[in-house]
Amino acid sequence: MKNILRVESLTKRFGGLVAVNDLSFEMEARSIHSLIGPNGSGKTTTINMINGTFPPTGGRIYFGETDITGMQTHKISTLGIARTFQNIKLFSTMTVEENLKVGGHSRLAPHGVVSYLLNPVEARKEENKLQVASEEIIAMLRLEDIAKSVVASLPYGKLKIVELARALMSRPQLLLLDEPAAGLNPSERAEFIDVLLKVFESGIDLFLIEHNMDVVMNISDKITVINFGSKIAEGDSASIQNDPEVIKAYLGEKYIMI
Amino acid sequence: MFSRKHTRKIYAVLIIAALAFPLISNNTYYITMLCLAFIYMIVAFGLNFITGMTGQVNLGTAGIFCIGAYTSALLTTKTFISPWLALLVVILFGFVIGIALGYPSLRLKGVYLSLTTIAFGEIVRQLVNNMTDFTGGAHGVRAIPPYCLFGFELNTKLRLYYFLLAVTIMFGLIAYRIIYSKWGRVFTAIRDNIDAVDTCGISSSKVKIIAFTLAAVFAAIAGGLYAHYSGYINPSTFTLNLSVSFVVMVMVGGSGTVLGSVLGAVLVSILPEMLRFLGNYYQIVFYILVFICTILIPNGIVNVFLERQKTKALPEKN
Repeated sequence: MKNILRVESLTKRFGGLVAVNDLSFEMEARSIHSLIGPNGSGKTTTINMINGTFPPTGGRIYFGETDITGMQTHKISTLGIARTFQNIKLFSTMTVEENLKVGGHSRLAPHGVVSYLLNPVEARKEENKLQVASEEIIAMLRLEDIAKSVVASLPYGKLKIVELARALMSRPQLLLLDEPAAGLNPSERAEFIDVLLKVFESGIDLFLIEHNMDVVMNISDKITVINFGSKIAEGDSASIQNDPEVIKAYLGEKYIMI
Repeated sequence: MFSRKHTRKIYAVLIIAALAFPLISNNTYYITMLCLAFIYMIVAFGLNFITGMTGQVNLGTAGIFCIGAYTSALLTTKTFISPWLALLVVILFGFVIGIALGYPSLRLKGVYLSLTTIAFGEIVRQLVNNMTDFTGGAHGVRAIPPYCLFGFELNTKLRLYYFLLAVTIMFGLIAYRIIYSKWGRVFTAIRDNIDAVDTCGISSSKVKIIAFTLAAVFAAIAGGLYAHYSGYINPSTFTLNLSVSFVVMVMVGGSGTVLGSVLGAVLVSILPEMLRFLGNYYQIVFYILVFICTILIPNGIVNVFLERQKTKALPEKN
């Protein structure tokens, strides 16, 4: 089976604190892989290293065959890894459509400032490409009614979908989702799961961190569980639900059924 | 409320008014003031990219303006080359300074970046003031030759006026095209959320340097124009006060728009003159106006009238 993402003995220390400790896992191509663990177990730190927000202290990260360890975020993004954030990071003074166009900037509009100014025809073409691509994704995620709205005026649930839409503009192979369902109510969560599955079916592999078990257990092909920065279990949802180590980490020792 | 289509009409009206002004009024004083406003507009168009859109404070613009002015003045008075050739050197200098000033902005934020740019501006002014043999020190540079265009020396107020108007319209067009393009979007994106810019596959460092470079080239060219417009320059013009005025133009006029820079430059260069009847109080009245504008309309005057398509927030579910 081909791997899209391989992490080898990944370690991150912040001063004396070991946030991620010798973590290794492999994510298969065409799969939905979840990383779960209690608060402070190092999940977001792991995503931040994969996406290049900061370099790991030790270990290596491979995207397909490419070693992306310590690469800059924008380069990793152009290779085909997009992400969303736990606390939504959108361009709040801009409209939904403009946000999406920034998302497609590097893939669809690579011309520099000077060539942009000197060649209005090419500039027009680039803008049209961005327009078409953003309309496609807006239609796919059913955002038509808010496409021209300024992001700051939208409710939280919509912002989550807009951020996802922006990430899709770079047409990634792998999408990292940091707590995509956090803060959504059950009906919004169900809607969001549908959207995620649609994205997956369009050919994009998903790697997610999530706290809501209904989301994780329903859509994951494989789950990696970490606690205090180390891997404690890995497998499909059924085996994870019955794993004593996992129950201990989440609920406490006394809940283990023997 | 105005949409972008309306603003095009406003530009057309403004350009016609500017073209017609010397025909209606033969008050050379106002024509001189407007010439200066045109030069300031070019600086404001550039500064708008950094301070208005990307959100990086730059209080060193007078330093860049000064380098542009002195480069052109010294080259034309000492080596007697054409002001046009000097302009190429000015553009090159602007380019280099923009990159050099852009780099600190990658590491420094807020107050620290402001301090760095203030220091830069003052270093330039002190150097110019003290390198007496080379720059003439506090005496300045005299007898700077005017530009020549199609065999005409731009030595009368009227010729200068139309020349500067044409150049300003050209730079206004460039600025307009950048603002309403993918670059304008990315500049604003950096102000809104810089982390997200990198995850979109765009190097935020590179974009910041582009913004600084554009601003520096605009300011340096405006400096060159200033030297040949006034024929005499000295270091006392290029103070921190001037840098602050440039920021006032962009922010009070209306950040992120060409129209805002136009309005801001006109206000800053002409309003103090209009308020002169107040005698000793004119500066305080001017700065009280700035104070009030900043508090009540932080995005600037023009943005109060510009239509931003804003639909009401959707009702929350449940």
